[in-house]
Amino acid sequence: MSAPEKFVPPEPGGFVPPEPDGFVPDFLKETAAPAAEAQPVGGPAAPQPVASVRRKVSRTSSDQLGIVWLRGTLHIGVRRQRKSLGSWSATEPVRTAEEFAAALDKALAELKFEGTDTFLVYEGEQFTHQPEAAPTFSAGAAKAYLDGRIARYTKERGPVLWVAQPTIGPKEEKAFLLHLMPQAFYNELRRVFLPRRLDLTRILPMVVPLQREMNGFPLARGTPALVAAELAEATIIIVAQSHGPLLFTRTILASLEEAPERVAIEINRSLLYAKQQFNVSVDRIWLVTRTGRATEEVTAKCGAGKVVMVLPTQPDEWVANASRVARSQPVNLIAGYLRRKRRAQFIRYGLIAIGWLTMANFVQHLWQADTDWRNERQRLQAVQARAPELAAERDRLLARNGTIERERDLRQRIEEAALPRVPAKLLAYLAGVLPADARLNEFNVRWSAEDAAWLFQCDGFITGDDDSTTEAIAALKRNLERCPLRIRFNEAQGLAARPQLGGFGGIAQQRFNLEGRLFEN
Amino acid sequence: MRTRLLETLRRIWNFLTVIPGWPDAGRVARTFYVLPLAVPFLVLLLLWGWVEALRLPEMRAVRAAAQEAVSLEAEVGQLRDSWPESAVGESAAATACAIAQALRGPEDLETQLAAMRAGAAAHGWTATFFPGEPELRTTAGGLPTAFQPVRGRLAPVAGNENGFASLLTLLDGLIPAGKSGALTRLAVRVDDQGRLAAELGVRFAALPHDEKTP
Repeated sequence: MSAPEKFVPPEPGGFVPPEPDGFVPDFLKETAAPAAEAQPVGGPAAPQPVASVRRKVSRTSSDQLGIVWLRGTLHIGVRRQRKSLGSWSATEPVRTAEEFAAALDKALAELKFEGTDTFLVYEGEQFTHQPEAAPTFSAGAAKAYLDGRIARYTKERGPVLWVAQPTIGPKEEKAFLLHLMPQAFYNELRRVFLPRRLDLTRILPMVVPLQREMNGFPLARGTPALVAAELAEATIIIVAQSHGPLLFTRTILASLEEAPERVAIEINRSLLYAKQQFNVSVDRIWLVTRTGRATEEVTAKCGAGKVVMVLPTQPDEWVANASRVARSQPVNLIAGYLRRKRRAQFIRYGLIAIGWLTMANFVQHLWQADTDWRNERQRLQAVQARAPELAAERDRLLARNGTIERERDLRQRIEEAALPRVPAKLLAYLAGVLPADARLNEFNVRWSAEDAAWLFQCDGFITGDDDSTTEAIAALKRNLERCPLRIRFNEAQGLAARPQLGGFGGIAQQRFNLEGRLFEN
Repeated sequence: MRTRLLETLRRIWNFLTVIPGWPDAGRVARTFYVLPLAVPFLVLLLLWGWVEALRLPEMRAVRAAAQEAVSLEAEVGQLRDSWPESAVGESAAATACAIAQALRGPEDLETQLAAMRAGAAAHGWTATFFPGEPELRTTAGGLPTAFQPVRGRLAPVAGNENGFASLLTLLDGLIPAGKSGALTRLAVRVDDQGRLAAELGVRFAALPHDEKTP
């Protein structure tokens, strides 16, 4: 069983020929041969003469034009949602694009279709349906396999639109039904549709509406059934599970109405093939045809136990049936093409917008730059004209600034002579904090230009025992360090000697010396 | 490589020019179809070429021709911004004031020393001053200046009972007001009998007397 939900339908673009010894059943080779061996499709065909058809087109119309072109018969209907607004059928066989264009013009004139949305259900020599078996290990491998097959065939026979419909393989393989239409034929169709402002959004094989019809039959889900539908002078046979995937399909070049015996034989062969290859016993047969004339033949040929049902269907009813197929139906030959076309159009419009916006922005920038440049040029010309005046002004300013600088320098040099009144302040402060037992006999303070600081030194005597004098000198130093003149003493100083001894034991006059510098300038 | 490039260009051309619904359109039709896309880019190319080939060389030439004048203008602006015009008058006034604070010659020095002696006498001290040689200060331009050093000796006059306090008061006002000068050295000694003696150094800002002041 394949896994259709995991499969990504490949983009249209090629065609794969049937394999001579491959999976394709013999009867399919016989019946599908005319389509597969259709005339080679080469480059684009010559433009078709298109009769000028002027019709009123409404962009807002949601009407659909359904075209069912089945092996020479052409039925066209206009649908508005589920309601049919009219239908038209060709009275003459329509086989070529020219005949199709002429018939389409007649139909449009009669139906007065105003919309653009168009779908086509086509069966004919230009549309083939080719079974293909692919590697089973992954969806990617299957896709690559199909792509390779299509690429090879494109190289040999020219480009083809294609879409792969997942089916049930006979031996648990991944199987697909490739629907193939030559690009040249599609181009011919587009040359018919585009001048008439018809937007072809779907090209469906007959299998799609047929399967949809089959899903409406009173069958249990998953029940296999055979449906044989009349397509003009041919008959299409599908074997599928109800609401499930397809097993296989065949096209018999004989009408169910005109040659029921032959078709009955082929139906029986299909039943046998399903039994042999798929191990599926198909007991229900539906004949979708105008009359039930073939019922007896089919019942006779297929043996007892088979339920043969007839669904009377007029050919133009396929229009209504196909119109109910979802727009997102994956088995649409041009889904990928339209997607790519929309993407290309989007990119093109984006580039156009970017181009024009960039150009407008650049022009605006140039305009602004040009305006700025004109102003700048005027200013430059004015400056050039003022050059002699500027030179004189520069000389004047140089002289002025030089004078100011020299005067400032002179003032600084004169003011440098004045120093803070540190000596008197220090002397007064020292006298204020000097202990009562101490006496100064020399005080020196001088300005050191090299150190940019005041250096001081004082010498004196203090009376007392060792401890008290040491403490007194330390207190003196602490007091001096708290001086606002920011005194810093030199290292290792204080009491210097014990030159004299007094009359009491332990009491003496001790000499002290303090040196340091002041940072108060 | 060349083939691949041509193939790529052909694909781009096809992508840009393929007309929806008219896959085999002729070259003329494709060209017209691509015009809305090509026109802005062609205009951009032309404008860019015009800017690069004509406009920018012209701008460069004009700017180069005016470069000297522009530099001159910038220099004038910088010079003008260095000092405001009002600074000229302010500087002149401040300079005149500063010059007035400097000694103008030996007579001026003697006048200041006399004033200092008088101040010392008023506080009960006898002052003796010895002017030294002026120390010229180097300068790049403008008026030369000098420091005029003066050594001095202070001794209390007989009967000055409050010698230390009067010395402090004297030192505070020793340098005459209005002159740029200061004490640079002070040495105070007390002998065994408690008599004070002070030596001091003073310096004044001076303008060498042989120079003309502004």
